[in-house]
Amino acid sequence: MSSSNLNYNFLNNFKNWGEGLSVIEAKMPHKLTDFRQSLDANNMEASTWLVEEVQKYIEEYYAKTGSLRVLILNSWLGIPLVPLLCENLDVAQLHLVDIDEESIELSKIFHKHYAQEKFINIRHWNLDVPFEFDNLNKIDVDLVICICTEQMYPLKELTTKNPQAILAVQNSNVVEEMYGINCVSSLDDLKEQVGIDEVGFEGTKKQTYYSWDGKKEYDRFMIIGQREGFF
Amino acid sequence: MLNIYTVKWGNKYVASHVNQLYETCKQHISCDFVLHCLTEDAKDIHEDIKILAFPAGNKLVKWWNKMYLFDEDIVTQKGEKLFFDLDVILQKNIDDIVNYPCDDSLCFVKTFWHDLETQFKDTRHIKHKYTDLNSSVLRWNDSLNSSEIFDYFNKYKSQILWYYRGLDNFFYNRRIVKMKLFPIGWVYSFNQGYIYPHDTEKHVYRDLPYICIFDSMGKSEDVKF
Repeated sequence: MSSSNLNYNFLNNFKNWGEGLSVIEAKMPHKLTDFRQSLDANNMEASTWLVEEVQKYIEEYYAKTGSLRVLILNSWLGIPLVPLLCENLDVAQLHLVDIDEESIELSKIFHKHYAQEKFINIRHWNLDVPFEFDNLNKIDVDLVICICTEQMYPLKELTTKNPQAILAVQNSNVVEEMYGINCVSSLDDLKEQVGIDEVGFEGTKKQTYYSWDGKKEYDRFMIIGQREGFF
Repeated sequence: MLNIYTVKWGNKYVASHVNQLYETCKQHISCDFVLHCLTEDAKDIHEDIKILAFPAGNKLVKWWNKMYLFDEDIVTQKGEKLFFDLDVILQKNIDDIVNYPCDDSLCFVKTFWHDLETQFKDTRHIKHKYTDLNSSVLRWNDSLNSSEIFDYFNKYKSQILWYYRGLDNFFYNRRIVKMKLFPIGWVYSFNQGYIYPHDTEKHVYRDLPYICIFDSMGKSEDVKF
């Protein structure tokens, strides 16, 4: 984990995490793996990195810094991204989109604290992103996040209702991983995949995973930019 | 009058495959029927087989050309419809399949030969890769909303071709039409088996089912005769 100035105060959530885990235990034991994977070091690092850089980007380039409306594509369980965002940005509205109904059910429980006690308007959408661009483009948001574009159809058609929305996306070159159906080999490939020419932030992080033949290193790419903005 | 369809695109199959399907249909179907072949190359296909052309500038490849079965500008015939892949073998009289009531649904073969529960679990994170359908044999009639299928396919064509390996995954995952399954035991896969877990021996001929197909799960072991 990088040493950052982010607020990691998730303790208030833990009572809801307990409730989420009982649902996993009783109704969805197969989701325990998802929960464990969501806490995987690579996912934690990817999410932290994204929130840190988004925070800087908003301060530097975006006209609005408060009451942010955020859309997360393939939001999965929302861990740790939802707590990180809610603790570190002034989020008013959070749209969480995922194809997996069970993940959505769990996400609603895990993040109840922010919805019920912090009054963040959290809306879950059970949608398959590439087939829902028409609907997603009706949502008015300031920030679109996707940290797993490896698994997604190119996002060029995703505009949202706000042409100046910030897009913060990550992808990697882990082509061997079974879910990597849309991996990229460079930052330029990622820009092409998302359909952004100029970005305010671009960066690469080395991460590792273990394959049948040992430890493997790969690149995680991130770009943050706007289709219509300062660039 | 029953209308039977098959699709021959590219050079994986030749006219003799179509003609052979026609002969086995004559042998194993009791009612009158017309066999229609969607193809861009009708050379040497039996003159009694009606040729249906793909639209000009067709860019679909391989099995995706089966989507034209739902193009009402191409498949204009009225009545009961049956489709066969060119590599299916009709093993005996298939009147039960011909007369199977499909209502307003599209009838598929279910891949009873796979360990579907395990496959489902293994693909939970990659839902588009799971299917229990096989479209080697299809049954439908005019009550099916074909245009809805074809319009949806055209609207999301690039996503569909990008996401799904073939029609089986597409139809299973998108759920755009009412579907029905042929009963267990009617069809088996020469490459995969008959009914999991009771009979899963591969590459074995079975006498009981009506139809033998060559479901290869993307591997290169498919076919032939």
